[in-house]
Amino acid sequence: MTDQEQSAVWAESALRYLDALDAGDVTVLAELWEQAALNPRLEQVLGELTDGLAIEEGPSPQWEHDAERVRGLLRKHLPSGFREETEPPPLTVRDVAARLQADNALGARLTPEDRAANSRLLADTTPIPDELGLSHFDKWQTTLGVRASAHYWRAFRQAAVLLTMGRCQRAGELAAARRAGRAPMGGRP
Amino acid sequence: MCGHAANRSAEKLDEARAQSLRQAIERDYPLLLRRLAVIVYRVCGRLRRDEVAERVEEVLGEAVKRALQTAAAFDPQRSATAWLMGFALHILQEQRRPRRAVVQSDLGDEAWRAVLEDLHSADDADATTIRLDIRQALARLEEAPRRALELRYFKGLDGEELAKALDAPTSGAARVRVARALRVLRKTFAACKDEESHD
Repeated sequence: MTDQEQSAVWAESALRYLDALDAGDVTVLAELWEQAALNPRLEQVLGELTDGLAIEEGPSPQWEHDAERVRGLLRKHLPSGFREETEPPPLTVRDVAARLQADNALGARLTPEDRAANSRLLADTTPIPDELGLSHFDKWQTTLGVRASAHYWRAFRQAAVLLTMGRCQRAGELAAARRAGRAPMGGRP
Repeated sequence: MCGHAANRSAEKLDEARAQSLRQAIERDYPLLLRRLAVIVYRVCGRLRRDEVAERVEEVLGEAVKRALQTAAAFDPQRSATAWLMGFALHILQEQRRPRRAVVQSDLGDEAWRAVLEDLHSADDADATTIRLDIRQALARLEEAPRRALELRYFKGLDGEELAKALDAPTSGAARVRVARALRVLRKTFAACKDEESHD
């Protein structure tokens, strides 16, 4: 396409867009933007004019200055786009060991052998089982291949139970939030 | 087995499309808000600033929701931003009362194209009737629109150069002035033609 043809196409698109804007014809505006989805040149024309109109004739483009507001809206409209609102990953041996290590009071009560065992478990990504009853847990912990005192495994199990409960609560809150935010289906295109 | 494999493949494709759409929404959300605000401000009429903001949030929220619900139909070759604008505008239209009629050009498409092509040409030697008509119409314009058209079409300025010459804050703002000037010219040109036909 020659410069002259491009210029004519630009002018036609621009005038059609401005006509529709001034006439309040949202159908034509929607059609133009739909066409622009497949036509980068048209998208550029429409984007340029819309941005230019904001500067020339208002409203002033203050949206971008209020980043927190925009982020809040995006969080509301696109909740799963934010990491903190996604489902937590499965709880692992490493998570529990890290929790035990972070607890200074508990750490002080562990023997050097138990602390060494805990350090080894910090690298273990085995998922914590759903069933944390004593008999199941005793059998399961032997599969980890780390020797520690009964006192240590009791503390480990309690920490695992508490962390699992916390995650279940968080998952429940997220599910409730999703249910509350879910609107009826429908609409076009 | 083949059916299961095909289903898994289709699910993966759908997920990839949804992911691509989600990323585009996250990236361009401020842009979508701003552009939709411009349109709502212009087409919804007599809305206060906070009402414009409220309407934009409502429309864009619904557009994002519907877009993600139909993400499987999204063609990644398309511009997600423009696609969402189309979505949002359909929703805005659903919410509005019956629309006013669109203003159509006073000229036929062929005549208007000739006007545009002629405007773009800087060759004064080839004085055709239509060129004289345009000069006549241009002469009737106020200083600002006439200058915008002369700089764009006779001097060939565009982009930053045009913005600087027009003392416009951005190249987009300069292009808006040119487009507005073209609209004024179109009306003036049509008026000139009417006068000629009456004479």
